[in-house]
Amino acid sequence: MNPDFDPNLEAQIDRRLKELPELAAPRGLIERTMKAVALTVAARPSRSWSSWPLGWRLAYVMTALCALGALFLGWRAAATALAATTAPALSRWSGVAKCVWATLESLAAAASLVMHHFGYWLAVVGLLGAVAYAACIGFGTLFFRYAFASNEESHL
Amino acid sequence: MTDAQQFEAFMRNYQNMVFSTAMRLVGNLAEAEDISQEVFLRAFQHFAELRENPRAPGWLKTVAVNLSLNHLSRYRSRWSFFSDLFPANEAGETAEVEFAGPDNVEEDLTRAEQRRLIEQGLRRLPASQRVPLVLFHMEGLKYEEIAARLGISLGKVKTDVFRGREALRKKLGPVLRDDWRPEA
Repeated sequence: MNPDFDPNLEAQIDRRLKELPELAAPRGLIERTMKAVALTVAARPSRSWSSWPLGWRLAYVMTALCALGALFLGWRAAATALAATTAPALSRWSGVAKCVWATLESLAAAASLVMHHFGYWLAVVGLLGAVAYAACIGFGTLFFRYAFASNEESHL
Repeated sequence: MTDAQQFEAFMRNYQNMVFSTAMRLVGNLAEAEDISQEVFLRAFQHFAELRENPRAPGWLKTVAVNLSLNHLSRYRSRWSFFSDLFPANEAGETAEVEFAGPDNVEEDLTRAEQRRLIEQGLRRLPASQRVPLVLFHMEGLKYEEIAARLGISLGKVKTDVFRGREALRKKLGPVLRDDWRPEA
């Protein structure tokens, strides 16, 4: 307990501050706010979903379902038409993809061979290297953020 | 009555309360006006729920306090710098703020003068003392709540409130007493 604490002063100030009347808001506040409200309304003409009348909400749901149905059927029709016209191009691209896949398979086989030859220790060294790299990146990011965060949060 | 007219009437009812809350916390006329406008813009977004809700004043007050504290914390480095340099001359302090009209035309002039001086004394406190003092005495927050809201320790809140009271007593002296009368 603070030895200088004066309960009378606390009560006196409490009473004086509580009995202060409200300050008069500046005269232009309403006008200014109403202009800002008008701008907000102009920028966002619709009201929130929760404030719509029930009939509007039902109509909206029906329209949305119809639009989704149309979109789905349209997509099916478009996909059929597209498949007929783009089949040759797709087969050309699939040839390229097969080639890339074969290369990746060869690389994986080579890596497996190296692992088989050098064995367990290569895997351990590789794993340690990866962990050290991730730790450097992680701690670096953490310290950077901490340094700047503590700089911003200077005390009240 | 259109929505806009209803909202204008709603604003007219609560604008003094919202502005007073912001003004006493941020201590700057222009900033308090900006905060009040922001409070009412948010109120407009929820006007369907607030329109006839008895909790509307409490909602407005809470939003006004939150926005004022956000504003202070956003600019706190500049704020603490200036309040340390010029503790008795807060930015915007020069602009004189009017009180809302008295309920009774026979409002005691002495009492009005006393309140004006107290309001002025409060505004002249450095923000680090004024904000916790206002939150404690006028907004009814507990020390722990103030510490959490301002992100400072409980001990610092108690010290700041104590220093704020002492500073008010030094600035105002006899003005705080019930039997105070202005000098002729």
